[in-house]
Amino acid sequence: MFIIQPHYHAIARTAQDYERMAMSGVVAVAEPAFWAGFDRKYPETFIDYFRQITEFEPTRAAQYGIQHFAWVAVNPKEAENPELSLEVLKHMPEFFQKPNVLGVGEIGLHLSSKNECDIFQAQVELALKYDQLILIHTPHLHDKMIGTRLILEILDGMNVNPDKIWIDHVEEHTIRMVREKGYWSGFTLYPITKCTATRACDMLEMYGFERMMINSSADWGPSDPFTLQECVLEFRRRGNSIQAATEIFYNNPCRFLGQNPKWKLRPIHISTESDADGVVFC
Amino acid sequence: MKAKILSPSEVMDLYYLNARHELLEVAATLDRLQRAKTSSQEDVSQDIRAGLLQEAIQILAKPSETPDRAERLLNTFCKLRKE
Repeated sequence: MFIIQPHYHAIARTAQDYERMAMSGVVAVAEPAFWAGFDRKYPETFIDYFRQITEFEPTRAAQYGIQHFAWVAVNPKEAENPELSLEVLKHMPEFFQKPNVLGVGEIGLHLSSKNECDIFQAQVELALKYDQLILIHTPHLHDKMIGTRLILEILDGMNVNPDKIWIDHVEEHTIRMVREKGYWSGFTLYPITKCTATRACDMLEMYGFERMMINSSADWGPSDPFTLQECVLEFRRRGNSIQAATEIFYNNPCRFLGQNPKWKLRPIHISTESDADGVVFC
Repeated sequence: MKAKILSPSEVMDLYYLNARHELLEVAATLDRLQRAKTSSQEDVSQDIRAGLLQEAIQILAKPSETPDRAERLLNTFCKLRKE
């Protein structure tokens, strides 16, 4: 089946990951801008990073037949430096013109400081001004609940379109508040510190398929892009059809990301699959 | 030669996140089971596995005089053996 990896930090991964993704049906990835593993000192460092993920990474992905898209943003961690962040924001609109840039992301909160909130709001305003999609990171571990609440409060005070906002890394204690507001929810599958394949499938059962996306967000730390394929297997193992899997792992990313006309992949319908017993995952 | 014994803080530093992850998986499994029971007519009264999981959780929930929880869990799971 075809799979889209909608949140993937290719810059942090070797070519072997592209190879494995290509071999297992991944046809497109989308790479948000994130923390480099150290705090950048200059706006030019950000700009060169944006160039790397919008100019170089697509060529690396193309060697494996994978389409590569990108987002630009000041990530939540480095938003703690507002002077630097605001300087970077001035350069972001030129990247919105790039043929593979989908929007502003990943923004959001890390420790939920005032600086982070201010820069988060400034980036949402920028996205609204330029009619860009928005990808929001919710904090890690014990910071997630409070940060998610604060993100939603900030968004409540702005004139946003929930259709164009994806709130990522939701878990069991944050998903309801995100869905009640009508935003897209993302489950991020990490081996230990975020959601897992089994829990993601549980949440699909509890809340349905609409406005749900799943991703691996593979990056510098313990992470694996193949957690997405593991989730496909878990989903199918529970008796869901290939069409149902396609809805989650291909069509939903197309529906959300396709709101940007640069994203040309469209939802697909498999017309010949049988749901009879004995159909194996393929 | 003897194996090094970690300090309590070293244990937490190395294993807290793993334990958190594994407890979440257990919690999710029990939630899944409860939802399955709610939406199915299946008679599970003869299936002792859920009961064994609860026994295991009770072992973990109580303070232990000796560090033998893993051993007691395994003995509990042995009850699944058909004689």
